[in-house]
Amino acid sequence: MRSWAVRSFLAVAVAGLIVAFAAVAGDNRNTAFTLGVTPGLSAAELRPGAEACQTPIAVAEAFDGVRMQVGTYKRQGSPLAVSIRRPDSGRAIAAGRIPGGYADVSQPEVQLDSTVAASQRVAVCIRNAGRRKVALYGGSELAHIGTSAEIGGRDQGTDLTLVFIRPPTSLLSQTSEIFERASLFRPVWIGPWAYWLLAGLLLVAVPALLAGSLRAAGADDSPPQSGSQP
Amino acid sequence: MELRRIASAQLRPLLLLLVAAAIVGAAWALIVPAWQAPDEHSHFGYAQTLAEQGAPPASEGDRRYSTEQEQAAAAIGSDQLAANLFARPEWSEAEYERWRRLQAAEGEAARADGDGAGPEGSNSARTNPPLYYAFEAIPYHAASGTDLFGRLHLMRLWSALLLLVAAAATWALVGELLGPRRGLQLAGAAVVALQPMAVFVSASINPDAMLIPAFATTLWLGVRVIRRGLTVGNGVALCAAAAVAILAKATGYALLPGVFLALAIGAYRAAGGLRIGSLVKRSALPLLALAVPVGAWLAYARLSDRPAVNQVGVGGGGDFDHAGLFSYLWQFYLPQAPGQLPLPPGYPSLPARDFWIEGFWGKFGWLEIVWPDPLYLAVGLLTAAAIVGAAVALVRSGLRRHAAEAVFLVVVALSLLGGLHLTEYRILADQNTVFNQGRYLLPLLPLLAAAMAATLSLAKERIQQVLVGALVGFLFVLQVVSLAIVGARFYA
Repeated sequence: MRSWAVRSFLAVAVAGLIVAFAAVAGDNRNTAFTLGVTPGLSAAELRPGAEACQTPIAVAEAFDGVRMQVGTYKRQGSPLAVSIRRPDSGRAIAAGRIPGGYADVSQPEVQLDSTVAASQRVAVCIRNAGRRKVALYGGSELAHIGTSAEIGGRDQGTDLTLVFIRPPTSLLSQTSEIFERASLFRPVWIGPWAYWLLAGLLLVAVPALLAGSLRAAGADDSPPQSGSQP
Repeated sequence: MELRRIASAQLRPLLLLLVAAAIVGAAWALIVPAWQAPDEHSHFGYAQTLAEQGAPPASEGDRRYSTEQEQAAAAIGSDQLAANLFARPEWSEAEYERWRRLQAAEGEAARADGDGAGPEGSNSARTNPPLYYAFEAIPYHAASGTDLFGRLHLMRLWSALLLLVAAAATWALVGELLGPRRGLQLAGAAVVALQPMAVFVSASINPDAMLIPAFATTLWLGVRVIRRGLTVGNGVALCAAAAVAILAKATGYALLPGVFLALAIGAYRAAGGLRIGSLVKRSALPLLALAVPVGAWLAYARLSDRPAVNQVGVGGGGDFDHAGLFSYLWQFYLPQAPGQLPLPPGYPSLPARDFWIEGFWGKFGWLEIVWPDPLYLAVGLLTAAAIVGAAVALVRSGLRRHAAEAVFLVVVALSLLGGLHLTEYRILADQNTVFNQGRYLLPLLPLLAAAMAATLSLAKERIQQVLVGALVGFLFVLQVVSLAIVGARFYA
């Protein structure tokens, strides 16, 4: 009878973990990295033919697409030509095009013609290739320190809302990457190994300890004798 | 030897639980990016100023936080990340190396130039008492040979240990209330040790981490004093625990009505009747244990011209609007009634659910990381069941027999709740902003845990065993889910 607590603990824990793992395995995400700029204002207004660049951007992870938020003044969106360049030389690294016709305040994505590798600095340039003006959303330049939006080389005092994307993968398959990212800006002796260890302890040692605790409590448990405290 | 063996066997469930809770606490300390827990930047700044300069943050100065802290926060993208689901912390190894070179070039002087106030304003935590920050100065100094992130994370791990103290005190509290029943004691202790918000807050740098064990210990000792009568030993311990709470955060003052009540009842019972002389004699030393440290802090605060508690004005130019307070309280717990002025924008539609259930059980980061809705429904039902069940258990066990302990526990709960509402109402009247946060109620978590244990005690033995196991299993699953959601929010 004493093992009922352990049995119910294991039943709830295993059922909960199965549901959690299924959710994690089915959660596909395509964010490579982001500048983290909330789309709170019109950060760059692009008249036909005008181009805005967000520069310089440190590429934390390889990406092959970019998502942005665009305002179209309640009309159909103009086509946008997007290019990824070296900030110093201006040499193109990758390019892509967003066809016109997207809705006002929508978040169109551009698929680039090649993957941009990590660990370099780039400029993301967006040119209005249509006949109607558009506005690129973003925030103040304090939103992401060290980079800013420019039009014709002039600093706009803003940052563009840009999300860098890659082919979607499940959260579960990103575990190794997640642990690598989590181990940055930690004590110097902490590496991804510490997160693997903690995950192992959390999923194996903690339930074992809790089951042992319940078993020990059951073995020793007894209701109070009559006349003692309630 | 035999006694030690028995004691060891009796405490084994608790010890195993504490080891499990320590692992969970370490996971939280290492998964949340630096300064992505509520106000952690202010609390780290306070602790660093205290550790480096030997004094709490000042109200006037040149730099609110140290150069070291500001550079590290900029490197990881802390400010833009706070509460912003669009943002992620810096992932680039190159940027990390750039920061390492920068901080190596700055040297140790960059640690000590944060005096608590600068052109951008003063440290919002500077009105807090210093005890928690002094406690955090220990790991800060112990890790002084490492970089800022080495010190910050050791401080988090050290802080997380406080929740183990709270769990142990809750074990004792349930034992005092329900008798030595290990299954129920384990259930109560597990609620404290594995409640996700409590672990998240405790494993960050935040004085709320010290309030939870201080309240748990005070509740246990208060019940003990009432049940067993006031002695110098248990009275001093009770008052010292309350003093720790007060010196950790001004919220601790909410313990005073309950502590005075426990001392009075304990002295009455110890003396076998109402004898003023005996009451004074028995209470004198315990009250000194409370008055000396708290008085020393108040005197220091006055001498150094700093507020001893956060200053909150009285709304309406000094006239207290009782009808307004009633309307505010009504709308906090119930839908707006016809004729009532609505709460200001920024308030959720039903604040009690948002703050006291969702914010109390699990909202992480700067509260932007939330669970799926069904989990909030589950913990809400669990909380309601615990409160109702505890009342039924009290009635069944003899209301008159246990009235004193019940009144003590209710007084502590209402003092904290009432204090929070009064503070919020005054801030509302003055500044029209939200004050309350779910974590402010965490000091009452040991009480909720005891209520859950009391509810479980209503069940027959086998059912009770099943429910205890299911409760611990549910808490474990909540932990895994919470850590996964937090990891995905920051690193996926």
